[in-house]
Amino acid sequence: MSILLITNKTDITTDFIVKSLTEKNLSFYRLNTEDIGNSIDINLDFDNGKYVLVDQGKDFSLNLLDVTSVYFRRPEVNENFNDLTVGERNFVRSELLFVLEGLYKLLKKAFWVNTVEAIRSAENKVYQLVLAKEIGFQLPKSIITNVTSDARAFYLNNKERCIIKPIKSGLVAGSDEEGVIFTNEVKLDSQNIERIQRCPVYLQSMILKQGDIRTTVVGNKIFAAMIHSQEVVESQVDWRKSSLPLRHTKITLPADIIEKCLQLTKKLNLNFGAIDFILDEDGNYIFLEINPNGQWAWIEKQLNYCISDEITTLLAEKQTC
Amino acid sequence: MKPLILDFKLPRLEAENPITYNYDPTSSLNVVSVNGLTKPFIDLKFSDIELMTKTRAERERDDDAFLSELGTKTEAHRERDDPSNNLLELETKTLQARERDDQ
Repeated sequence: MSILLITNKTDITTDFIVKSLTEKNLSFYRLNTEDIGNSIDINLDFDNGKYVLVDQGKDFSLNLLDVTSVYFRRPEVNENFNDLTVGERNFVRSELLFVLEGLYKLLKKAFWVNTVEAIRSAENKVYQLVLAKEIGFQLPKSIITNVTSDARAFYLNNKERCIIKPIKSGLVAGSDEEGVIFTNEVKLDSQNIERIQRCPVYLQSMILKQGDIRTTVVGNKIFAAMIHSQEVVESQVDWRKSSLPLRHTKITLPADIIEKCLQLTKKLNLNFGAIDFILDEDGNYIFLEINPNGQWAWIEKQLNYCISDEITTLLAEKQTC
Repeated sequence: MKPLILDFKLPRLEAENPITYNYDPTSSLNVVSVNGLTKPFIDLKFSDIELMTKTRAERERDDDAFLSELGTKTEAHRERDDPSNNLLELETKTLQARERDDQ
């Protein structure tokens, strides 16, 4: 048996998996993909059917066909090509990324947490909302639109209390800027509403909260945390905005919510998922989204949840959900 | 005409983490040096952080601005039972992490 961890060196979350695997004395290799082309060589010999990674730094060779389980986290590619033009750097980056994609295909028979295809499919928030609604989760009133009249009507129907959030991710990245967009309350007026035409907006009704619930699903196990986001003003709409860590407590989800969470991960072919809810003032669990490759290590550390243990158990036992 | 969603863009700030860790290929972990001993970053306790930051303070004894900033951070960390969790949270949560697009 061989477990492969696909990530980068700075991924602290994977350190938890490494520690758990080491404690369990399980055989693994941490592939920090940015080292391909530096200390890691890749050799895919199609004529002889030999597909090998060689880690020069560790004097270690991995036959890719021996890999039985994969933990997929945060692969990156080498960006240090200062001697190349921008176009040449983009070309090389693309080549490296495609080799990685090929590597994933070679490993398709292994058990994955999670497969790249499942992650990409599950990341789409439109798809998530459709499935969540089918399963029977309560949702905020939601609209994605670039039609001003529809946005205006939605806003008025929700008593002018709405939030706006990114449809894909909040990251704004360029060569010389780094920005982030959180969930925010939005006030629509005759001036700004015209500016939704060029790019659809994702609006939801504003829900008053007791707190935010982060549910980590690993296989059939659930680890639920209440994030006391309402104790700090800056985190009331979006808990990630808090500049200091928020109070977290363990919470037991109602049985029907647990069942729906497991249905959702199964429908999305996920062996891991981080599901966010609002716990509203009436005690209802309002589904927001699922992140198929979301963070969990801080939850483990804060609440002594054995999430890494559960992930490594899954990798070792090669179970499918 | 700038899309409305971009009105909510904020600068992305790096975490103010006073601890420097390095990747150790032998253990496949990120590690720090605490009082001459190598320790996994994820296993840091408050006492380790205090030890590390005090050692740094001794080396930079003449830098009053650095020491006063250190005191502020140490105080913030003392507000919780295990302030080392705060460092880890800073490193693993979305806002501060170097990841691209996850939550």
